[in-house]
Amino acid sequence: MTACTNNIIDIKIGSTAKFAVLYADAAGNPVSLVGYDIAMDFVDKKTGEYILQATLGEEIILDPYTIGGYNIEAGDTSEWPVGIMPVDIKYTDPQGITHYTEDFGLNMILGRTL
Amino acid sequence: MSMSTIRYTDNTDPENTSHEQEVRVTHIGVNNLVGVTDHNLLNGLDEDGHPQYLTDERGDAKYPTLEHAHTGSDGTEELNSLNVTYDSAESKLLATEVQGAIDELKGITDLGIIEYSALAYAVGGDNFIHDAVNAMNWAGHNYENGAGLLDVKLNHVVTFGNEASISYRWVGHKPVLLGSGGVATTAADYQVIGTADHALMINTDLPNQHTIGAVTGLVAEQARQDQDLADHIVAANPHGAMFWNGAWVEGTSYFPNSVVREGNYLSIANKLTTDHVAPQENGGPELGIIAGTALTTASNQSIITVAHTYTFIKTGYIQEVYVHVPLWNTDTVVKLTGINPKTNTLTVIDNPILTTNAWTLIRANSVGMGIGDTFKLELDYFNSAKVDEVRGGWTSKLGTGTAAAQEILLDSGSAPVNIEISHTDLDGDGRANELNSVSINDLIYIHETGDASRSLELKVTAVNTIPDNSTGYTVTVIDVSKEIRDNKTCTININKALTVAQDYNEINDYFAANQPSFATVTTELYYDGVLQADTNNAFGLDIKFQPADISPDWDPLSFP
Repeated sequence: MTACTNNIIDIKIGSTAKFAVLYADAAGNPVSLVGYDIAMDFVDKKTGEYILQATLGEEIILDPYTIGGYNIEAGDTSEWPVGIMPVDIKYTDPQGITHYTEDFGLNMILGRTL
Repeated sequence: MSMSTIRYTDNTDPENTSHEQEVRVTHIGVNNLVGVTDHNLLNGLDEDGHPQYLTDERGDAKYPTLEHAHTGSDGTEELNSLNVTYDSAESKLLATEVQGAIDELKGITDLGIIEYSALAYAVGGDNFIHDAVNAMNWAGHNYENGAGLLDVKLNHVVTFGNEASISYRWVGHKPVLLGSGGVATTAADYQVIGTADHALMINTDLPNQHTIGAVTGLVAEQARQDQDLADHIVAANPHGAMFWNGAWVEGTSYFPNSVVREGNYLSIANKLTTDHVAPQENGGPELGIIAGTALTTASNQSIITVAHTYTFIKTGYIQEVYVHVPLWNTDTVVKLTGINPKTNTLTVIDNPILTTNAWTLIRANSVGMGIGDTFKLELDYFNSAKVDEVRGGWTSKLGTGTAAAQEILLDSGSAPVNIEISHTDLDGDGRANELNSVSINDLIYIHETGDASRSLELKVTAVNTIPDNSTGYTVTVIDVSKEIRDNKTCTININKALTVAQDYNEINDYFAANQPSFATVTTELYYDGVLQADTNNAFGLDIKFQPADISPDWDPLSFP
């Protein structure tokens, strides 16, 4: 496993994008996401159009075996634009309080093989 | 500081995790401190973090201050704590009225509800409750005010009653004083709440209001009537008709009104019976006078009448009747009469053929007799050769005055005192000399020619020969069988006084010591209708009696 530099994940265009996420507190203890809402938008920065709006229950599925864990099934990336796509994750806790992660980047790279 | 770790795998080699990439991003805009469980450890507790709770400022902004004033807009007094506005649009009641009602309720609550009854039996005739209450002097009632008035207070619930047995609840104004001299009430002040009188209830005539068992005795009465009807149905003769049952059969039960024949006896049952119809002989027959007893001959210068009366002490029937006369020839005139009070029959046999100085059987019909029954035999006897006779036919007229031609005038058909006979009879013959020659003590026999049972036997006590066309007689009645009716053809025999003695038979004092076993016999002897003293002599009359058991269950219709 490679720790990414500058919070950027390299993804070859055409691969299937799947992210495993773990939410932990400052002490590193997983935080239960029961009652939370989670969303993540994938936006073409050139056109401003949504490539994907991942929502809990659709593309975002809680991991029933891992406290604080969930998966984001972004799917096929064949049509995703080349270049770094800045994204973040939106959390809304059971009290309705919303916060976001800091941005991280998805660096879409052309593949060599058709 | 919260953090999300995002791990990406390109899936090129699932077994080789060297292809995984991971980023860790911190969360922005959240308290990144680790959570606490003690409320006191929270930050910002002195801040106004709960605006839903009222502060003094928020409370004053929302509600009137405690110092605010209340002034009634509809005339009510100023209230101390709350400004109540009463809207009378719906109730149409003034606030004063509402307050009055509240006060009234409070007063009732303080006193407690008192329920009692008041019976107004003051007036009769008119049973209207308001009239009864208005006329009542309530002295003695628990809630009488000391002046004869019923003091109905606010907390009183009063149930009134009167002679009509109906209960009424007082719904009029309270408080109130009721009775004679009090508030005059009307029917509207009372509400009927029930009655103890069944007759006053409605719908009592609807079906199934009262079961048969609810009425005392009705079930038993129904059962009795059912039984009566059943008995009536099975009874042999429920409606009184006669039923011909043919010949009597031993052991058969005959219902009332069954007509049965046994031998020559035909009878109808007067009750349920198995008895014989025919008399059942009980020993041999017996004569009233012992056979062979010698009779003597007596004589008197008159018409002789002798009679035997039998009062029976056994049941049975008369088989035979016998007559004994000292002389019988063509000049002998005999009349034998049988009188049966039980059957109310009179049998007259005129001039039967007899035998000189011997017993002669006259009739042999059976005449049933029970214990206590009586039967009388009477014999009138004389020798016509020894008398002069006037004999002819006249028409009877009941009345007084002078007899018309061919008439006999009687002042009574049954007990005449004066009679008058026309000198011309129905044949048109002149009879003046014969009628005028009749003397005192001569006997006059009158009977209707068409009905010989109607006859009179009279004795002349005076003769009136003055009328030119008739002769009058004053008479005494010797014998009456049945009255003579008006305007009937009558046969008249006038026997003029005998000039020689008439013989007859007797047995001196016979019945003084020789009463038969079946009856007690008394006798009579008449000379020209005058009863003689001795009654113990037997005369030339006798019967043969057959003792027999005769069932009282059968009424004879015909017998031998």
